[in-house]
Amino acid sequence: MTAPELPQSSTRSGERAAGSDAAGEPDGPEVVLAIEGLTKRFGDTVAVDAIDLAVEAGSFTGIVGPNGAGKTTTLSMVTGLLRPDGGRVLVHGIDVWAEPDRAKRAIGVLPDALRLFDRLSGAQLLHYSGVLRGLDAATVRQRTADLVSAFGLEDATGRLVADYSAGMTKKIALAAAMIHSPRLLVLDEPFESVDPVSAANIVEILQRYVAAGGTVVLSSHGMDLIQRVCDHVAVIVGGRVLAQGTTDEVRAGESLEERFVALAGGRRAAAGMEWLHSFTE
Amino acid sequence: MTAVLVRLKLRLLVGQFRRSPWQVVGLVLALLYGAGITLMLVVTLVALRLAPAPISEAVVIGGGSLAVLAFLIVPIFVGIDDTLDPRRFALFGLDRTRLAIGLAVAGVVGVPGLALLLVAFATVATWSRSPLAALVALVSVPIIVLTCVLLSRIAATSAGLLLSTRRSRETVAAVLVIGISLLAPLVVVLTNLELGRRALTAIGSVVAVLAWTPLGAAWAAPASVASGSAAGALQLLIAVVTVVVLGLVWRALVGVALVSSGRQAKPQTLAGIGWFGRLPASPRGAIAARATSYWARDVRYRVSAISIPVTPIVLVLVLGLAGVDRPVLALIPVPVVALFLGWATHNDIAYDHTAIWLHVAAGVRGVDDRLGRLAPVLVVGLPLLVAGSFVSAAVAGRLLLAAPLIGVAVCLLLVGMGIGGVSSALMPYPVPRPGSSPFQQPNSTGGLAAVVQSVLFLLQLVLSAPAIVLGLLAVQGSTAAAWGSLAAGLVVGALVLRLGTAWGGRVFERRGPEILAAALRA
Repeated sequence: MTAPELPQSSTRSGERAAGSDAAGEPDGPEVVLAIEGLTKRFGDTVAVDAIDLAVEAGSFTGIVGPNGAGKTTTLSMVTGLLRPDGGRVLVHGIDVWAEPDRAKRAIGVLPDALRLFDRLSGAQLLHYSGVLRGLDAATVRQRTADLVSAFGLEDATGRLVADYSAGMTKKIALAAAMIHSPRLLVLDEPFESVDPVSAANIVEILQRYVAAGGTVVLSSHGMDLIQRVCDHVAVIVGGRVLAQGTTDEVRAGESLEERFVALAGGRRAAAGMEWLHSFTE
Repeated sequence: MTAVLVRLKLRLLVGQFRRSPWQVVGLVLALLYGAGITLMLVVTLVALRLAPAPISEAVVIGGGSLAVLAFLIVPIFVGIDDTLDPRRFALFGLDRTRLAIGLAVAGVVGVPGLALLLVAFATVATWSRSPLAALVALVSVPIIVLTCVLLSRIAATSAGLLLSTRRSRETVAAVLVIGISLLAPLVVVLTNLELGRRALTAIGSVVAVLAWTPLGAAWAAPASVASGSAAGALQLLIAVVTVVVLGLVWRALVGVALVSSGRQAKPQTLAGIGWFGRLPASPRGAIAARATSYWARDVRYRVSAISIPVTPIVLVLVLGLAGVDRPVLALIPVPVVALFLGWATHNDIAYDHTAIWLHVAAGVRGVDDRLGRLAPVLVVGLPLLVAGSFVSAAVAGRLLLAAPLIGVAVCLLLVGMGIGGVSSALMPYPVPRPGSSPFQQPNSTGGLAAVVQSVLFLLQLVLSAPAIVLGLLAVQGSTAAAWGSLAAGLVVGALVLRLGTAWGGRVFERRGPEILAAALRA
């Protein structure tokens, strides 16, 4: 497989080498995403309850949480898609909600459950995303070719995105999210309905991006995958961060899945379902 | 097997009453409504026994043809729940001829079939003017019922077979829009009694044609016999041949349906990046390219693109029938097209649905978004309106009138776009989602859509009032007013567009997340 030609800027490569785990210390690695007291209410429900989170440059952070925990709400507020009720989001030191134009340039976004402009062909969608982000035609053309081969979408560039399968739609959206070589990639459920081969492929692309100094924040339900891929994990339950740190710190000797189930309130006893074992005639 | 299938259909009908109480209430109300309509039609048809023959003919043949057409169109259009789709019987290994007969007969069982049977029987009373006519009417009853049922079965089954792909559904929807737009003048003619004698002759000529088509032949045969014309025999023959042909088509279709599993979509492939390669690679150019592609490709835009030129044609036809003079008629289409074209942009963002997140996440400048979307309408609309103004003025016989026409049309278009630029960012209201039928209105519109639509429409007219008033004076004969209208139209239009896109752009930048939230609720 051809390696993706992910664009990189010369300033980035040095950032990760600074390497100490203590976030926020003057000599430590730069905090590329800082979330401070972020809050969102929908009516009486508090979806996100004063979350604090710091993500270092060059880290691969997984956000895990049960359904309805506030993961998507948090990531939407980070990317400027949902206005928070309180708190701050700093991306590379820029307040996303005070200076959205500058901050958004540094972020690549893959939202979950939002539509794409799916009456465009794959190539058109990539071009559209690149040009909206301010790239010139030649750059867009070259990066589109690289992304298409990296994601294995060669046969699909001419087809309308509306005719894509769910996994292919995810891949083209992911490609569109990174076309402007952002400093920070915020990916909501990037592996949902993606086949294992493509998922491994995507992981490799993301790992190379991180190795070059990029930062990935993703949410997923695949605990094995997060444990394997992410160097940092945050567990969000009921709109609060219950645990965060390096993956090894959070899982504390157990598997991430066991730790997560314990944090999320434990397994429900599967009693009272005996009727399921006497089959309908 | 026919008996089994009829019993199955009856069971399915009864089964509908075994649902939640409220669904049953709704079903009963629908049944009562259907029964009421049927009763009304039956009474009308019986009463027509005493009416003059031309009126009875017009009502029976015209209405009857519409009913036959409805049996053909409704299954495609609405996509009725096809409980007796032949494909459901594919696993039973049945003989296809017997299955075709059984499914056709079972198709009569049901509210529409029963209502049709009663109404068709009522025409026997209408034509009881002579024993022979009544006999022909009685013979026509099964022919009518079979024609309608076979048409609806064929329509439903072939829709299921052919239209399971996105593109074909959209194509059919677009074709039907054109068809119905062209039918509109006919309906106007049929319903508008104010049109007096012209209308009556118009209906007469329409009915005279329908009587010889498969749609109206079976209804027309007894009418012809009643008026002593030998044409009745020929019309009866047409009707019988229609049923035989439909029967053969149905049998063939059942055969096909039993061995097919629906059609696979053949995806459309585009070489290159289309408009994106032709327009500048800037955010504004890319948004313009995207908007242009959507006007050409998205069925919801296509409906607007088709109905905007069709509306003035219909209007002119109707007014022409009503006896308005040609010079006046010639001046109507251009301003009407401009009015609707400008107005059509007022809710553009809502058509993106949640895909607008890309513009929000990319921090697109509001002005780029506003102007980019307007580009295709502006680039296509302006030259067309200017050219159309000259043609209209020439047809009206006064070339000077091109000046006020251009003034009014350009003003209406630019003003509509200017205020649309603000309103589409300030208060988008829900529209049909991408990929769904353009006629499937969302539930949650509430009153917002109607209020926004009518306020903007009025505002567009009020802001264009200087150009319009001067234009009317020019039609009265004032040369100065003609040039004044042109100047006023261009100045006001340009000003409103400039201010509207600037203001709308700022609103878009400020309200990006709220626009996305509105799209999520839609």
